[in-house]
Amino acid sequence: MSDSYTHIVVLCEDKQQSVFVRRFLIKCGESRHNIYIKYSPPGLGAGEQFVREQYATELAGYRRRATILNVALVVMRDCDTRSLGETRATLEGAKRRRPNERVALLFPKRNIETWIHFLIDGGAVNETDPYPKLRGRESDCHAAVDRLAAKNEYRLSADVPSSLRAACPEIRRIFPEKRCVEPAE
Amino acid sequence: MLKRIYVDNFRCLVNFEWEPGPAHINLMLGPNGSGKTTVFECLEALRAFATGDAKLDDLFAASTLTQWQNVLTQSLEIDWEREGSVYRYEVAIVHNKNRTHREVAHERLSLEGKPLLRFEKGYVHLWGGEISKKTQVYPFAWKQSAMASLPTTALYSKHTWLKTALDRTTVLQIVPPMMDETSLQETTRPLRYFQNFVSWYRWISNDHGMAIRLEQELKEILPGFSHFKLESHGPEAKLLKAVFDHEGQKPVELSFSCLSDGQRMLIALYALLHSLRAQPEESDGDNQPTGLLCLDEPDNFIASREIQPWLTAIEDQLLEAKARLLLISHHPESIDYGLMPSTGETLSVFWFSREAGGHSRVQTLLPEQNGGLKPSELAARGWLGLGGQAPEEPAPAKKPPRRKITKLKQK
Repeated sequence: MSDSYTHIVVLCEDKQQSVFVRRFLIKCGESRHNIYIKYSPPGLGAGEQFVREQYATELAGYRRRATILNVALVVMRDCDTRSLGETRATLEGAKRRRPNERVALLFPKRNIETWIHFLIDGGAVNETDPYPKLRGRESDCHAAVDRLAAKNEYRLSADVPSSLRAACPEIRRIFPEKRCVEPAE
Repeated sequence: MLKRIYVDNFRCLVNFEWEPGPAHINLMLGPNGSGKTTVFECLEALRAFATGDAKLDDLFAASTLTQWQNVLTQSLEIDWEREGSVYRYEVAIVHNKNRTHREVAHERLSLEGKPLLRFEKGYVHLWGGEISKKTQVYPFAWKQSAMASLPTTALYSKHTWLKTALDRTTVLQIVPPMMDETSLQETTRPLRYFQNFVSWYRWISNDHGMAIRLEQELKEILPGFSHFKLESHGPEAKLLKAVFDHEGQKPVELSFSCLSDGQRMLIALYALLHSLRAQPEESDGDNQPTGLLCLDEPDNFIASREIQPWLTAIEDQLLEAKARLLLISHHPESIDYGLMPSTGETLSVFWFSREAGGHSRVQTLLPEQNGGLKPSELAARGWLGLGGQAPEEPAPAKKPPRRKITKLKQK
């Protein structure tokens, strides 16, 4: 199966996450016309709840289409104060993905702003405190995403937050051939 | 950046005031006939008047007067921000009793409250800009814009900045069946329904980089699309053709009118998107006004799966070009995912409404008011913009006080 998808569905919590993931996928060579993003519309309650509720539906949709199309599913959900394992367990429940499925689960901790802050500044961040949101200027994260997507060049520094380190194999899971986000040497 | 528009006595707009939000995309929602398109008509009328593109009689015909009142003066105002300072441009048109004749009652331009230009009673008063600091006064025509008549030179740069801003405003309600496939000459300005798309494309394709980027984008959207070709069609006209690769066979050339309405709509939308990037390059510096694009239901004609990619692409492009988009839409995809702000975010979604036979109103939409339903669902039910509050939980009923059970003393 190639790394160029006919459809990539992104399930995430809010606009910031959608901007981050879309930019990343485009920088990895995917066409914006093949990306469909689904995030919690405002007024529908917590974004994390939306992702949790929609995950089973999207996973089932992915499985049905994966037999005939080259599709991938990217899910992003903030950890907030939970651990990575806990966040993953509450998302997946009994619906565990299979080893060969092109399904990436990304769990920024504490939230996506932690990753953005680290990727922009490059310095150490903590995954406990919330970093300021880019409300109304979500696209300011583009520079951060571009660094993450710089294939074969980007090396994770020792300061990389654990949740971002955990995301690398997830990204390689959907882009095994592109070799983007190389692990630290 | 357009900060405010005020309109009085223009179709359904009576004493109407709207302040668009600061976001790159302002979404205008509301039922049919609520005045959204009329706001665009006013902007276009102001643009065409202030730049000298059209005649007063064509822009402010008697039919544009609010029909249910007998007022003969129409007023239009806009506030436009330029690096923290605000221009105000005001125009009043007065019609005669028979509504057969009209003229400019006044035209005023000011910056931060200080007058720059005023036309009243047949005379123009011009402040600043001239070598001498005296106010210039001269007679002027009653049916033209005094601002439009000023030359765009350094001497009048302060006066004509707003004219340039309005000139970079494009109001479009694209109707693919109305698009001509041929063009007699290049044009820099799209007509309202984009009838002259081919002529406009001839002009923008002079920027070869942009033309290549557009073709690359269209290759991803239109299966088999290869490139555009402008073919001579008579002594002066050009015919636009889209060339499609056909599985190893000879490429197929289709004239523009042979494409479907949806395909032509997509081509027009992506051409507009890529033309935005070209605008800052033309600018002389940061002081130059950036573009304002007003699109009326661009999601008509195109497939649902094309809406989100276009919205995200134009959002990125607007950011890069520092331009803004006022967007009228009824499509659930636009309402739910593309544009509704998150809670706490700067709000730039507006709800237009109108009581039966009355005038238009506008209000900011607050996502908190959705009450658990998607905004598009609320729109489909006619509930969007109604607001309302969640009913208060009834207070738990008070338990009756316990009676003291006193044992009757048995006698």
